[in-house]
Amino acid sequence: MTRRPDSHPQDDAPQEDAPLLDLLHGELDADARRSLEERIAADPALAAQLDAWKRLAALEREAHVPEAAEADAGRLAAWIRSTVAAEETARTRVTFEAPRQRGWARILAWSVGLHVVVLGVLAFMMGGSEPTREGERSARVALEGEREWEEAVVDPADTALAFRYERIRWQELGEVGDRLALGEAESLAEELRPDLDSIEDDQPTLGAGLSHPVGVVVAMSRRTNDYLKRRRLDLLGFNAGGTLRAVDRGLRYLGHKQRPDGSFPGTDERDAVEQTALTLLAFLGDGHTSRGRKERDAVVQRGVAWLRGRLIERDAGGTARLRSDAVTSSIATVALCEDYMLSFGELSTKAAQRRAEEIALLSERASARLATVQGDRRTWALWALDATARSGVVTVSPADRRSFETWVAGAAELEADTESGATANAMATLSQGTALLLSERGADKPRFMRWSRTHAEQLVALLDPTGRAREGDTALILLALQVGYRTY
Amino acid sequence: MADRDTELMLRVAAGDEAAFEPLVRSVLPRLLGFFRRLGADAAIAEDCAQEVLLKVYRARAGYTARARFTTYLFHIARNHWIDVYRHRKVGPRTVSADAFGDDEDGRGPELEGPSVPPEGTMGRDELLRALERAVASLGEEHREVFVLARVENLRYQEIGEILGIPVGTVKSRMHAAWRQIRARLEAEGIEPP
Repeated sequence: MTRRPDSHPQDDAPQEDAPLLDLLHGELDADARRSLEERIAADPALAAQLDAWKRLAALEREAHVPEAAEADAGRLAAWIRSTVAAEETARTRVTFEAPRQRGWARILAWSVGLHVVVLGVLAFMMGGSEPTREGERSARVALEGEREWEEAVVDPADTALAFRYERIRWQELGEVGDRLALGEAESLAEELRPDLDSIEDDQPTLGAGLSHPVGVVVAMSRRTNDYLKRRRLDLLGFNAGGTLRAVDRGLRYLGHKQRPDGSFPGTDERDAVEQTALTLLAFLGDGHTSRGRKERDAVVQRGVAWLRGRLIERDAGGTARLRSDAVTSSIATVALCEDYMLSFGELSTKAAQRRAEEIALLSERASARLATVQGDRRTWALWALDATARSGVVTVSPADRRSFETWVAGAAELEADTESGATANAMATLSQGTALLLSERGADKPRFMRWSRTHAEQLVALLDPTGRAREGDTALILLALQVGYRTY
Repeated sequence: MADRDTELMLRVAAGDEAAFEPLVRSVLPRLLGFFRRLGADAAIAEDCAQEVLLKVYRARAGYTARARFTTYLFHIARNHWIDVYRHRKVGPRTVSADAFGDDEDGRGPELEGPSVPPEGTMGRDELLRALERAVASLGEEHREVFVLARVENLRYQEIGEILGIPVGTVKSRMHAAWRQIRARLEAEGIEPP
């Protein structure tokens, strides 16, 4: 006799207890059930067998079955509805805007169009102002050619210089990337014109001074615009498509891990603060902020609110002070700084002042710890100082600046270590990449590109299809993957 | 008459977005249980459930109540498990720091205890864990039948429809699964109270 391909040897074995199991599952028809019950009543051994199965089945019923919290179900349903709505809107738009075009022709058209509009808008914005520095002139030139563009994207400071003296408010420029991607360059330029004419020289900006907003604009555009992200990752030798998909999956995974209070789970209180700050940094790395209006912006909003409430308290007079010794204040400082920088154009003056005050408090703690901490924690303490300096909230002392530069030099010497675990390699990539991008050591950039090529694929492979890191530390791995377009 | 989940899904299919949340509330725990018992840890089970519900919502317009919604749902769930995990050989039992999200107290994932507990110390919890290990040790084909029948309380007929196999095969796999579980417990010296 030929056995069916979907059966197993043990499935075909004699099954004396099979009717008992079917009875247990209510799978016998009325006649078979009555017949079996009569047999059981007459046969104590059979009855004992049935009892044994019943006990096992009762025990099995007790086995843990996880249940979702009510809030999780509501949040998940809302997330699914918004995700699918966005997909359906995007599908409608593409169908409407690009009928019957061949793939390659559309890509070529988009590519040419984008280059034209980017150069056009830049030319428009630069028109009428005089270059004031050699660095500014070179940055402008850098934006005009492919090879030079590579230099410009690798060094955001140069790119920022190109914007610095154009008297553009960052709020307008922050939309440039999205608007260009939608082919709205002309209308954008028209909208900008009145603003350009009305902005005065050295208009004071909150917290950061004149040089800050332009750097933020560059960062914001690059973090939020897929084209710019891909371009930059391509130049660095990353598999841009794979990297962006991995980051997207990772963010989706992490977003689902957020607790209703805005925090992310940790082993204890301190770890929860660290995990929340790290996870927020991953979202901020893709341009999501507490002032945005999208689903992922809401994740940042909840997380930032939790972090601020957890670390800082205010008395009746509104004076802020640290609530605890805040041993993880460094990572929290970096996260709060980034959110402040990326969103302060949307903040009221009072809110911006409040946040700057809080960051300054946290930064003091980070600075105080600098002399005593080592390893990864020292790295975060240094980043915290750098972030507060870039945000314009705190002026870094010469001694701390030297510490930062020493760390940058050390991080630049890191080499690939395939024997290390995922966390170590992600941290090393993050350290070296960030150090080199923050430094002005142009000679080290090729090394960083080699490093990136080596590690990007490994880092992507660490995430499973759901976006979760197989060995943990999803947020850290996303941060390492985002080094290419994080920019500061 | 259609069951409540089927009614909710029909409302979703007709464009009633408000019906989706109660539907998710109703089926999410069962989906989580399904993936957990197939071998996923809590984090992966959540992700799988999320993906399945996303697929259901994406395809909502084409839903027709040819069978109970549960049958439709677990057909998708089972295919998702095969696509993502079984065929790609992703280890579903990975334990990572990310799994800390599984428990509200943040203590982290439970580590598996010894397979054979010290004699005379078997408590209720240990007994249940031994049983979970026994279920987890089943082969894929037996385990999915067992989980659908025991965790989801589906009839053999429905399981056959979900898995695309005859009812007789469902039945024989179910019997074999029970026997293997019992054999495994007996091998550990365990007998249910």
